Amino acid sequence: MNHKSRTADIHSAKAEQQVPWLEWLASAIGLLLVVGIFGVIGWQAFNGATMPPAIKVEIESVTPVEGGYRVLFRAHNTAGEAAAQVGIEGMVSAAGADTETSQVVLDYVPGHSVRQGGLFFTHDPHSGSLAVRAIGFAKP
Amino acid sequence: MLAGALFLAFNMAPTEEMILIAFQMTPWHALALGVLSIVLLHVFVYSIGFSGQENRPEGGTFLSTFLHFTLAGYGVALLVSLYVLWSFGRTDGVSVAEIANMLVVLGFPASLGAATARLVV
Repeated sequence: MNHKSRTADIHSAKAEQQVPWLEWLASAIGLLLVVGIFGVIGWQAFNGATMPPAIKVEIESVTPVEGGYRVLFRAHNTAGEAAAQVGIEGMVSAAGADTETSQVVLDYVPGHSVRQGGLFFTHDPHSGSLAVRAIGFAKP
Repeated sequence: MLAGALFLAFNMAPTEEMILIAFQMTPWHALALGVLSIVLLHVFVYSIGFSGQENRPEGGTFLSTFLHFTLAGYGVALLVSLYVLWSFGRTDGVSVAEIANMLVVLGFPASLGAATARLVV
């Protein structure tokens, strides 16, 4: 009996010791997260988060698909503000043929972020010159 | 708290408006919203006097309660928000700064959910 109650005492003592340790861990993680998040947001406040969007388009790949060619691109917003309704236009101009234009609209390109998309052409972009650029955006 | 945060965040994360709000906010708005979330989380659980309100643990000062429960709870809310946003593909190709904005926006309902769960359970 005596022995039993002693083990119970040890157990409850252990539990009392363990709880603050876990609590400290949880609060340390919480504090780190909060400080980290506020740090990142505060940092962008002083680093051009309100610069209007500037969108750079890079061509990733050109692949023949059924009915034409698929051009994959990455639109990279190099400024801090997000852009909405970003129009992307691609032009294939081959010698002796009409210029072919394809367009697509990206819903959002957040600041300093990358969105991917694709354009379809019926003429081979390799046969002439291919230019893809952003033609406009709206403020979200 | 995790269940409450997940319950509300899971409903809101798939909507377009959450990220739209994040894009429209300036950093100062985001900071203010973050502070508001933490204050509401603390006030809901310890001050307003809803039924099921928690009392400060024995001998706990305001600071230790705040650190141990409120900040830890807000950390849970932020982690849940991050997980939900990530699992819905909202974080693909997005910069850390914009993710932080989204986390604070989604962290607001998540922390209220966490507070409510704390009161109810």
